[in-house]
Amino acid sequence: MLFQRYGPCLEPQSSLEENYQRTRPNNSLRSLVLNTRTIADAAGSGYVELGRTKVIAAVYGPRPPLRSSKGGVENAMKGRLTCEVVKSAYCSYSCESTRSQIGKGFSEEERLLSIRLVRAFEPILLLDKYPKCSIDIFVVLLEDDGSAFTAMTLATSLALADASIELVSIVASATVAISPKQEYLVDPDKTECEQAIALITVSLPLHATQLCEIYHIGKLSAEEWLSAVQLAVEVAQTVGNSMCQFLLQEMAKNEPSNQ
Amino acid sequence: MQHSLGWDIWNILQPKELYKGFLQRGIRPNGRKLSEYRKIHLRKGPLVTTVDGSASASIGQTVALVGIQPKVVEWKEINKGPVKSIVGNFCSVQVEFPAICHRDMRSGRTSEEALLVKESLENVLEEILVGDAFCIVADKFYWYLQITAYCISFDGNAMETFLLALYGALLDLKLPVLHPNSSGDRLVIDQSQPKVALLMKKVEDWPWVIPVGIFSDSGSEHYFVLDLSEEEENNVSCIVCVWNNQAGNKVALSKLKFGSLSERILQQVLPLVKAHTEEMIARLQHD
Repeated sequence: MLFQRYGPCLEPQSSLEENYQRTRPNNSLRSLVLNTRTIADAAGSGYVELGRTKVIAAVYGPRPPLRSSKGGVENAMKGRLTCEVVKSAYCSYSCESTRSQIGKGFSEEERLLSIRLVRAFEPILLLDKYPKCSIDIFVVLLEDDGSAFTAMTLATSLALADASIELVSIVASATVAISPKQEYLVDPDKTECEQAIALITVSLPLHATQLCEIYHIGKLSAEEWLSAVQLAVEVAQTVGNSMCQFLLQEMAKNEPSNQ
Repeated sequence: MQHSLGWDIWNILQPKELYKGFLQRGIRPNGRKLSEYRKIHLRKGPLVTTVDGSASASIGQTVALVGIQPKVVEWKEINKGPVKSIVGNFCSVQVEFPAICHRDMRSGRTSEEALLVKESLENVLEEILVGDAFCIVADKFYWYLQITAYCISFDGNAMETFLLALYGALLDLKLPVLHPNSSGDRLVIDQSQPKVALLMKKVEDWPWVIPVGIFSDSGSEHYFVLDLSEEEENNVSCIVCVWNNQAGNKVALSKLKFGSLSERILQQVLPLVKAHTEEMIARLQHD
């Protein structure tokens, strides 16, 4: 860890990852912090801390598209959802950073995360209600300590709700890792993700019986896969209920000032 | 409601006229006085765990986050910049205004605002950092600071917000104590000693910047406005950045926006910023 943090000039020490032990129960989440209205100019914004993973998301729109979309008139009758994900330089130590220069465009990983977010939210937004408009989501991953996509999904949900964009439902997400000891670890941190033999992330709308996004890395048997997905769905529903309660509290807090 | 709608329409059609009407009464449209600042908040680390010094500063709705990641480099990797330069040899600064912070910002390319802020922060670091403080083993190992600054939310006065966050991060920065190992080719962290702050010039000598907006109409009247919001930056005729220290014996000026300036105007601006500079440096020392 010190080698990665301060550079190869330091003497290598025994890796902390070899002695790593999870301090919380396997089925418990890390501390979750939710916040909205963090960005002044955005229509809606959300901030999520899941343990040490920190994500901030902003929604701009509905507004005229920034770039002309492909296709003809049929696309104009329905709104368009775009997403840009940026990983900050704080996601890794300076010595292991692969992002050589800011302002040089998006990395492959950032583009993949953007695509996954669009895939998760496109069926959820009622884009028919926003013809000829674009809803733009911008996400910044401030720090990555595992389960980053889960935090991004939660932050985006908060931002969309804060912007009063019409949705089918709030989207919640959860990640489950399967450790080399065949344990199911809910909300894995970075070390657990790196050591896991498989990783499953699910995103689902809260009040629907379908998943809107599922992402799987690694090899599992069919029974293990099913168990992991069921566990992730239960956890996501719990998190989603907490988000709903938070949004209701925020709405109640803001109501007297709106009158 | 009808009154507010009229003002909104006037603001769209003739924003400068509306703004001038308020300035003539010594007040801004949102009720702030011309030299009154929005709420200033500084929070020093640990905001992000992968950095050794961090701070988040906000002035009104403008929020900046600065993180400092130190690494150890060998002497042959430095001396690539100008001979006496600290920035380039011992530290680098990256400033980003991601698209998240404002509707007009675009990802993928560095904005003009970011370049201006980066240049200012580099000039400040040259002023306050001490070259000898980066040496671990002479002619062998040195500290190198990677300073990354992000604008999380933009509503004007980015320069001052970033500077406050940078100063907070530098004051928060703690470096581990390193010693060469027995063979002398690597370094070892001395776990028995606590982390130490980087040696810098004293805070009282640190420069401070205050962007001053100068609104002038066709006549000879000029109005000086501090802490401009993003909307106000578009309305004023000229923006001058006044660099000052607490003692007030070192002053520099730079012009951000085109507009007419004269010596008489500048003489009126200087006393205006002195009081605020003292207040900000005092806040840094006590926070």
